[in-house]
Amino acid sequence: MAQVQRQGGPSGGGLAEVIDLILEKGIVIDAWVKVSLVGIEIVGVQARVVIASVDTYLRYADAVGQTATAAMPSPA
Amino acid sequence: MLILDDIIAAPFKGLLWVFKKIEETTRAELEGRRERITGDLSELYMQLDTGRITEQDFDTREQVLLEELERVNDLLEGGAGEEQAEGEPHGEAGTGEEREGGAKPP
Amino acid sequence: MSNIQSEGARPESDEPTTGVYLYAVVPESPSVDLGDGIDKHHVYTIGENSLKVVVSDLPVQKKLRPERKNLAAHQAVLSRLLDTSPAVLPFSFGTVADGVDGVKKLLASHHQELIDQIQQIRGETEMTVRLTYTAESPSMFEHLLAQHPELVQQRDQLFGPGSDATREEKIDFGKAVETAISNMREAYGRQIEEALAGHVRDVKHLPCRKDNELARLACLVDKSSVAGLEPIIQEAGKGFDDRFALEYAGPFPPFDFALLHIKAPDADLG
Repeated sequence: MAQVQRQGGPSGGGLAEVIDLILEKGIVIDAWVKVSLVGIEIVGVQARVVIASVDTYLRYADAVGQTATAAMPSPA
Repeated sequence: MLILDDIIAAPFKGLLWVFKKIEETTRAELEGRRERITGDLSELYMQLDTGRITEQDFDTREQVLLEELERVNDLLEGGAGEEQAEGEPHGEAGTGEEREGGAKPP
Repeated sequence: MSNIQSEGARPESDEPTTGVYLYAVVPESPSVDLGDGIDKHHVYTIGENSLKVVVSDLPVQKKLRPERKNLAAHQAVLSRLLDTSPAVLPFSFGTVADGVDGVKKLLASHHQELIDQIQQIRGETEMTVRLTYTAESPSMFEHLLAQHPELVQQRDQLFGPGSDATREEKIDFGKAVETAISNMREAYGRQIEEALAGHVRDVKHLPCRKDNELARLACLVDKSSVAGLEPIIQEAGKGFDDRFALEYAGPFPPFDFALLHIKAPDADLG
């Protein structure tokens, strides 16, 4: 059975899990806007789609290539 | 990633479109880089929490990541300023009443 | 720098370089003392009847680094807020206004949007759930190949003895692998989402950042449902064997469900 584990305790105390929320999510204000908050708009943000890069493709190809040297059970 | 084919395939869209595309691509790559750094930071905290590294190790590696993050954010914010503002993006804050109401939407 | 004071404010300095660090927007002033925040400055609120911003002074004007002590201070304030406030609309780390007036302007110019957003997340928190592949053998890529015999064939053609794959061929192959990984992640994500159905109000599937990350979910969970979610997640874990780990964290303010970007209107590029 999979290992099921809670990170950071009941009040979410650890920082590991919350750091990407704090740094990247929530209300974001463009840096230069902070000085003059008049005449600006607030927009909802759609989730960003992550684009794979050529480096990723090459890395995946190599990683799978390496499995060729290990014994592989034939797929069912 | 922005591919030359994309640009060649749209010959009538003009230079502004190309610049916008370049800016979007650069922005996407920078944001991807920022996510990677944030992910590394998260891992670092986890290693500290589970006792795999010492506080000292953490501090050292944290500094490296934070500097990287700062560089990426500077690049991201610089780009946004050029796209949206007519003048220099304002870096300083808190210089008094004259600031208020000073910016007009383009 | 204006000398308008907000309720409960204890500004550390009257100098023009005092900034105001923003933590979150809440519908009402918390009834408890929120303690200290960044750099040990006292946390207070600015605002009017139905909207308050939770802040602390930040006398130093340089950019605030997301180092551990600052992140911990920020998170501690949010944590206390989450316990005591009916709705917490969090700012991302490092949001600083140039003064109390700037904050009031922010509230005034976006009053309705903020009210609406607060209403949407009233009583809600965020829990994160993450599925990772932890076994070393078979590796995750071997696990992937077991589900994709066509990739095994391509692999053998490209990497078998005597072959010499070109960079282009590798890239094409890598794309096929990436597609397969994407599909696999999507399937696992759905599996977990289905296991949580009925116990969470909403789910967002976030991009996976490491190769062995197979699913990353942000779940919108009623505060009252958080405790009851644990056994559900345990149950969801039974759907995976011991090559996997299912980790969860929270509750947090609903960061992923309150993504607002305050920006200037787009310059018209013609």
